[in-house]
Amino acid sequence: MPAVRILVLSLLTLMAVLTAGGCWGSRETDEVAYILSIGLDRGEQDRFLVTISIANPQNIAGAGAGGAVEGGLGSSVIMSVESSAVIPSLNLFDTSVARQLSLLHTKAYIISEELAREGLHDLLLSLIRYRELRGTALVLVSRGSARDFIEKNKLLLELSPTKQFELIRKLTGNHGLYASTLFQHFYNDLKSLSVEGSTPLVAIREGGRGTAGPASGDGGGHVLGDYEAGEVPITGGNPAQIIGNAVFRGDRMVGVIGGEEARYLLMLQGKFRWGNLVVADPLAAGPAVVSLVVKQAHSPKIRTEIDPEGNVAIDVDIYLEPEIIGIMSGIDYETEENKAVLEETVSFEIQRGCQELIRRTQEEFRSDIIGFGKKVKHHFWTLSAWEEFRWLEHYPEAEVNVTVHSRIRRTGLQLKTMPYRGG
Amino acid sequence: MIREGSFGPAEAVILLAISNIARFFLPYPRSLAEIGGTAAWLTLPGGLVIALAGVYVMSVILNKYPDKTIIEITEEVFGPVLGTVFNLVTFSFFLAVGALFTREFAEAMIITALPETPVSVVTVAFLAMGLAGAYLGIEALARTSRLSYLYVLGGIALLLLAMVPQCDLDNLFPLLGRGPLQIFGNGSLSTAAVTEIILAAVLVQAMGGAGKFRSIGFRAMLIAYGLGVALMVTLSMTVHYQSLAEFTLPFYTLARQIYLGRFFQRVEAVFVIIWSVAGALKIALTLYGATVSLTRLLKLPDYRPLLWPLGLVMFIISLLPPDMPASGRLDLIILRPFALIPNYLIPVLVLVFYWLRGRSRRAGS
Repeated sequence: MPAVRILVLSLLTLMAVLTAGGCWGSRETDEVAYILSIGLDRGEQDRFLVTISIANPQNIAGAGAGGAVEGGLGSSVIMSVESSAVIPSLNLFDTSVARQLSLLHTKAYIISEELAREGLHDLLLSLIRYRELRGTALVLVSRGSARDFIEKNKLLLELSPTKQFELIRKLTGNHGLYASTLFQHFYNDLKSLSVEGSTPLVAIREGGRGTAGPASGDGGGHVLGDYEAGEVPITGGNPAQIIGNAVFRGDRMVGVIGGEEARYLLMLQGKFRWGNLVVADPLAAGPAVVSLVVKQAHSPKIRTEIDPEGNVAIDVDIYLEPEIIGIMSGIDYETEENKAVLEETVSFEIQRGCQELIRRTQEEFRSDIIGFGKKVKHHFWTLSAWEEFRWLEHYPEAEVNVTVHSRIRRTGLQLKTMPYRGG
Repeated sequence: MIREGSFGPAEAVILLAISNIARFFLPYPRSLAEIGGTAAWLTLPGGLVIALAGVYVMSVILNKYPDKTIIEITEEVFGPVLGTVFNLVTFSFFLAVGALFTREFAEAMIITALPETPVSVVTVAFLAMGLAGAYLGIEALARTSRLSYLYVLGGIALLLLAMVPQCDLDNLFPLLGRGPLQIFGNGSLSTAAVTEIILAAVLVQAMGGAGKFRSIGFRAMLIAYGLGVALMVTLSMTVHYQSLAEFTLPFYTLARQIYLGRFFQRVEAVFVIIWSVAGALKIALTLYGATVSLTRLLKLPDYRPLLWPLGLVMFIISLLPPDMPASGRLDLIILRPFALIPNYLIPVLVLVFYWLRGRSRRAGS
């Protein structure tokens, strides 16, 4: 009897293993090609031009040349096809790729500005349902063609494009020059009546340093990062740049903010972590600047009021903790009096920047990308009352006051600046 | 006399709690988001109050007949004809819950992990686990749930903690969502539609008798609804209510959003295993409940011979809905309202009849 029992149990176990183990859908890893990023442009013959970057595991694992090579031997292979829909287009790619394409490791969806300005609702609706798509992928808007961006994005320090996008997501915490947006958050924002979407802006820098767009911060200015993607005057290296954000109203892109404004956006949202900042030296006679590393002390305090006529007033208090990292003029900003002057200058500059960003979002974009609506809706008990209020229509008329509180806590590795005596 | 075995209150509480939270692994949370909007989580405290009242009413009935289960009590109070009709309602309810949960769990597995496996194969796998569990008896199921609860509850706790960085308190506003009537009316009635009150009343003798019923029921409901509130609050804080109402499997979607650095992501596979355990337990329990209630109704000495035919019936019923959306609709439109009958309506009627009969007896004497 025990032998029969063991036999029956063994057969049952075998049956369970064979049936429940997913044999129908099993795929060996060397039968699958993983798409690392997808680019979406307006097609010429069909609705979309879909560009995919497929991981080339041989070169990622070995010492292959970094970057993308069209149909070549880089760490990724780039292909494009025109199609009326994005996911079904993968089958078209399969006609020239021997492996089954998978979106399980897709880290970025790069959408061209042209497509973004036409509206993304239809596009996202057709993507979000697909089981392989992960909401944790980045959504980026490309100035110019998304295909160009994928093709010209040269990986110099990474073998895997996946890692590049993972690092892009994280790197915003170190400078705040773009507000990172994940697919799931962008989709949520499209559904929301209290906040509008924004995505990081990417572009390929064409030409050398001289062709870069002008920045408002000139030699002696106080602005760092007042560029949009493709305009940062860097020579050499990867021509792909990510700085600034695309601004959406509803599902349509309506404008662009630069890197500096992206920092203000993050500060107003309470998501700014850390970044280097330059302010004009308040006590120096010449065009000197003081360099600081700034971190957000804690989330901003946002108070909202609605009067009986439905006018909204918003007061925002932002708390920053700058640390001095460089003083060109040699003025002793470590003293109590000078430190207070510098703190006031930092607060003023950032306050001015935040107010200007808010003005642009109200007058130029008419889009609450900061998400003040999330606080305004606290005044309403039910969704029907909130929906009837139509916050996004009220936002351009809202009165928003920003106050920045800066407190220099540390002065780097020097506690005092001694006078320069020359020769 | 059916030999059911026996187990302690701790096992009973865990068994009922796990059975109750199994619904949160299915499309059910999305319907709460549709009913309550931003206040989807508020539908649960109202449901808890109703469920506690249901447990209380049931405990009062069971205490009147300490040696019997709700099946024998119903027959005694209403007589053989009406009592059998009501007991058949209870039996059908268990069968319907078991069949629909089998289908929904099978579809969930196909959507999440086994996209190319035929639904019949996944259904058979779930039913095989259910049959094995039910065959081994309620004591084995209770002890299994006691062993597995740390993994199930630990998995849920891990999920909730991992989602903390993505939580946004503002998503819970406006606090009353779709309005008090929707939340505390439709919402609470929906969340009060459980299987566990009537199930516990059928298993009462194995759980240690009527004396322990109230305490076990209260504790199980508090744990299950507490976990439900925690899950719904996290879901509402993480996902916009409109998006939440769209998702087929909100809990799975939540697990897919976990991102704690480059090395801690894609952990949803762990949760698929956890809810498979909960699903198998739920299916085994409902199959057991259906079999035992029919056995008691037919006054048979053993429930095991009925397991195989009822398992087959459950398998066939589970394949009747043409698709996953239809299963979800059946769950919401038929099963939830149906659950109110054996859990609340019949016990109240039993109590009223018992009281009226006692009154007429006293008047006669």
